[in-house]
Amino acid sequence: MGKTLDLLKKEAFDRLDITITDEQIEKAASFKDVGIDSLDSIELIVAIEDEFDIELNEKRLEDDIKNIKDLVEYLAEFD
Amino acid sequence: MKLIFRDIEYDLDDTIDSYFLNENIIQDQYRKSKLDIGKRVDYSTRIYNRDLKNVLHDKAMHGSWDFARDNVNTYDTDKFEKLTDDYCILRKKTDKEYDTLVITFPSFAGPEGRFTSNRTNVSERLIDQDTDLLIVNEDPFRMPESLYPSNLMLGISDTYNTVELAVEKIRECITKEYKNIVIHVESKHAAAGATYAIQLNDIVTHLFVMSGATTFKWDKSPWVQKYLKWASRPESLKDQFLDMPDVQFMHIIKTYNFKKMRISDKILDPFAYIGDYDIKIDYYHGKYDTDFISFKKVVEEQNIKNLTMHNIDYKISDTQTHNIKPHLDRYIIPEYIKSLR
Repeated sequence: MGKTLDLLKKEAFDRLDITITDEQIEKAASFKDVGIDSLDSIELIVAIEDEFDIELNEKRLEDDIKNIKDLVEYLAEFD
Repeated sequence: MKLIFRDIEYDLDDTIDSYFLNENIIQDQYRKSKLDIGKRVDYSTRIYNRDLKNVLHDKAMHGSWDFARDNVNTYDTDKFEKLTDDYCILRKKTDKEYDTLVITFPSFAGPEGRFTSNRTNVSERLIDQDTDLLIVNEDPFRMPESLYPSNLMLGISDTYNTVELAVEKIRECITKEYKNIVIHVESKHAAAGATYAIQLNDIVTHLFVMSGATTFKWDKSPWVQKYLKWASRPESLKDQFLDMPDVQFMHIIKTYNFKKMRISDKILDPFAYIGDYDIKIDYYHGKYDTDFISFKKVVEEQNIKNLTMHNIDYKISDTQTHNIKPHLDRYIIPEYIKSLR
């Protein structure tokens, strides 16, 4: 498991009380189905950017990241 | 009243001067959004900057905020019904019989929020609670940042343009008796929430407040007092810099206009009066929120018997310490609603 995925799972649990499962990632579950709303996703991204001192592309996040699998794959580019 | 903003003096008693002050505050926000501070800017700030630039660009191209009318005069028709023609009051659709009604007054920070949202842009977590829900919006076109002193203190729209008229309309929209009626407000609507709770005290049982501007009384507002202290500093301190964000200047301008209009203290400074009513108040302040701590102190000094102060150990990021809404929506609201049963 990549370090970004570890962090995503940790922040989702610590901050949002949400457990992201491997099955949800494999099935490309929607953010809503995982229990993440738009404010949650902003919070998660802020936390991940802070932790890795990276800047994710807003346009790509809004246009291309449609589910939890998309997000995991995008974050993996920073592993 | 003279006010110095970014080294230029404006006369708040001169309507045209006040107009350009308003424009210059918005321009100042835009300039700040373009600043290269030489380090990474957090995601939520980048989204804010982008939205601000977009709405200001569209306004510049169109000549007014009217470009946004089609965006904002919409709502989630699956989940809500519109109760007023001006889109200001909307009710959650439900077949269930609830004994609790939540009346929420959404708060948008500025044009970037008001002109990019529809009229039912409230937390899904609030909508999903086992309660009836009324959303009471302020008409986004009636709320220039500082020139028009609204913030719900002068009603909600051109039709319901006083607290009295807005309260009357809200009453009409409440069509059954409830065990609990909760007024739910955030940030800049903190004072307004208490004002509406007082005006509806015969039916409102609870007030839920996320910390914010709790008074617009000229000689009590901590931001006004901070500015006046700086403005009257002795000659020996003339070089002293005033660290005052735009939002605080906007508050001062509004508060001065309220003063000129002689709006009742009971409307402008409701926490001084709300203790006289049988309304249970829960006030939530972020532990790291230094922006509004002076307003929290104003409330604490009232020693309101039915008020519980909650300090919330949460911040979105080091630069976003005021907005504790995500934490309240996720952890506090569900428990709060359950506790009412």
